[in-house]
Amino acid sequence: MIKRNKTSEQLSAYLDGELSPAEAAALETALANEPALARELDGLRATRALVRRLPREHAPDDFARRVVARLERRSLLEPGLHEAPSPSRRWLWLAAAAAAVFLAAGVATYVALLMFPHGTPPVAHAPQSSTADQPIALAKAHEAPPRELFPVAAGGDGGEGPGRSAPGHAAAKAG
Amino acid sequence: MAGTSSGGEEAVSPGPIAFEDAVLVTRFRQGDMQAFGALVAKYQDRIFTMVLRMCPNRAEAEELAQEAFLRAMERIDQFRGQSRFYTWLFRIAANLTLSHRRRAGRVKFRSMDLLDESGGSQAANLADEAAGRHVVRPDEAAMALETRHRVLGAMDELDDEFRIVLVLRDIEEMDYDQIAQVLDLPAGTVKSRLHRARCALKEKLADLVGEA
Repeated sequence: MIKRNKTSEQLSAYLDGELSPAEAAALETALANEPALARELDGLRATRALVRRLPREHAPDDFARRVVARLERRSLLEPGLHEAPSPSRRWLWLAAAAAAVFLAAGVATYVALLMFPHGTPPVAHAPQSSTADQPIALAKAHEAPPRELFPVAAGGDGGEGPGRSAPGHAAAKAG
Repeated sequence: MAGTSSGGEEAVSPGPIAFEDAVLVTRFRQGDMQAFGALVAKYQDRIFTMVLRMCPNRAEAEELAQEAFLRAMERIDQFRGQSRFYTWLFRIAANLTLSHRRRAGRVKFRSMDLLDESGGSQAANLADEAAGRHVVRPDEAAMALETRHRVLGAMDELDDEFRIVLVLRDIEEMDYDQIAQVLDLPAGTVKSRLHRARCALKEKLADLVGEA
């Protein structure tokens, strides 16, 4: 039964010239010996002919004009939409981004040196948040050694140093 | 998916048509809208026919065909030129059409649209013939309107995954490898689906098949 189904499936491929010469020869032998298989092939051929005889349709006369108009309209609404960035333009953007990062890092270092010429800022001045008031800052300063507060004050991004986990951050990541 | 790279492009030896398309694509990338218009004009009938055979509502088919060209042009930088442009374009159009059909829940347009499609098509063909635009093939002229209606109706009853293979093979005349590229399917699946589609159609059109 499986062999019969497989042979039957070969019929369409045979009609379409998609069998290898060896497969085609094997199928032709089967067709010569099995009238039912040959009838099935005739039926598939006739079915294919019916579909092939369907007329080719034509797009409306102004189809191309309308597509171009739509593309131009979209281009106006979203400038650069169809402009594939050239390699040179891509490099220009990358270079500009890199320059901006270096500039920002340089300015940050310069400001840090001006503000803390001796390296370690006074603990009481370490901001805990933009809305933190002085009593809370002082209270927190007593909860942990000053050395551990410094990276938070200087970096401001929560840090990723050893031994300092950030449960909220971890939870956010896990979530 | 088997058989194609992630971008769906497979290296082909460039023939004259592929070369001509590549030139137009390059010109369009450089901002030449006339090149874009030329690509649309070149493929509009084939794309429109394929979409219409999947989605028999003419207005929807036109909208989908237009959108296919727009998407292709908007993503032209993703076309690496390793496959034929037309295969890539058909892939976009086929995906768009199949997605649209899935979203629409495969609404049956048969009762009205097939009548409209058949009648509309014939009217349009007559107008085209009068204007000297439409070249009627002998076999096309021989196909009675009623027969056409029956065949289209039977195709409309096929599931989309089978119907699209039938359309690409028997109407668009793509070979199995091209169909596999367009639909991102293994060639074996294309072969199997095409056969099943033809068998189903043969059953539905048994009386016509017997006459043929």
